[in-house]
Amino acid sequence: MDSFRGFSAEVFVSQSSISVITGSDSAQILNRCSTTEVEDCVELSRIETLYCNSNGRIEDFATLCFVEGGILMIGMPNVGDQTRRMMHNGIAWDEVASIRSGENAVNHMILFGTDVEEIFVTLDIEIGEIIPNKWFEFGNILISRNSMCIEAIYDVIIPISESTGFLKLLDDNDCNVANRKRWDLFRIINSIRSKPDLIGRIPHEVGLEALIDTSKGCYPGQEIHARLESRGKVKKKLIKLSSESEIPIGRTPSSFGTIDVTSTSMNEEGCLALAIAPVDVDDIDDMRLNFGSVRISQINHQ
Amino acid sequence: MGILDGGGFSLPLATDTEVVEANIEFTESAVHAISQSMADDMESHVLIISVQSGGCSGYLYEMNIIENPEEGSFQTFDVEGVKVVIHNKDSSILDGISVDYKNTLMGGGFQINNPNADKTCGCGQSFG
Repeated sequence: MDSFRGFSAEVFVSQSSISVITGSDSAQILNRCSTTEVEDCVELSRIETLYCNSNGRIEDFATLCFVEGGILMIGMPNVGDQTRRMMHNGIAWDEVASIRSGENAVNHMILFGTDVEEIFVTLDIEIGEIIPNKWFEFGNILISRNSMCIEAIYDVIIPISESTGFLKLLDDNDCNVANRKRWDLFRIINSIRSKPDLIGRIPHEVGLEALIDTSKGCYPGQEIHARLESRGKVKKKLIKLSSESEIPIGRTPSSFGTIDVTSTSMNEEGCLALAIAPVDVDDIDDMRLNFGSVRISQINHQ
Repeated sequence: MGILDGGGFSLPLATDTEVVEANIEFTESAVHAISQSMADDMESHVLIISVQSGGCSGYLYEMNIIENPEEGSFQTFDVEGVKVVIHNKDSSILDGISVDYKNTLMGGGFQINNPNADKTCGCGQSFG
């Protein structure tokens, strides 16, 4: 597990947008705009989905949790208001649904590292009970394994009032709180996409075509996605770069076309980055850019 | 207590819905088709034109015949004896639309031309 090297057990308190949708028509309202089927889900189901604009570009990447008859939606940071407004404006006159912000009610934490599963054991949680695509209830806390990642990473949704106690409990069990820089290093090593890598992108460019269901009927962006799938003309892809020198965020020219660096992280070995690049970079291992030489790693998405 | 029962959820979402006095036009063929659709239900029922999220472009039109709504949150239009209503929440987005009816086998039916729409789906049902 090289990608976990140096990370034993850590917790990152994410700034994810949290929304709560309740009411008898809530799933139907979400489903009309989602790129995947989100209706008829049983209690504690976990579903990943995208919300795109009519040009097929990602506006939010959400993890849904069906709980207590409502839906908790964990979205990308700082886009919650926009997503909630889009959904609110789309409620038909005879539909029953309420869309609320949960950002002052619950926290989203991410547990990661080689020893994370041991932490669960010390908390008396049977790791076998945390099954794919389901949330596990631990008191008022919801825990789920992130199935979009190859490595074992766990999402935790917890009432804010219980967050301090939970973090103390984790700390007592040698699970440290990671800051944004530390989490970025881990996620870039493990090719975990975040808001800067996703926003405004076509899902196929960032390896999220598994979240496109063109058979579910129309949703915003569906025409573009269907055309891309039928013609197979995706021109860009997400790659990982590494360099001994710092890799600046933003667009940089290359012999293959523009490379758009979306996330970077410096560590003692140099700089790592995620970038959107022309698909032609498939055939090369390294190249020279205007800030120095970079090594290219292809990303195999789940 | 469950996770949704705790405090801190902001309720309701603060979204102002602009309500305007909508102006809707119907072509002669649309009026004829609406009259035919309503048939004997004109006294007790109305045709409601509404908007909901979805479709390729973000929003979808809906047209349904429903029982005369009693609430005061609708705007009513008299179309040659047939009552057509829209909900106040849809008034700004439907203001200025023109409803037409095309009597063709392919792509026929009611069609809405909406000056508020920046783009429209190929099928004509979705707009954004």
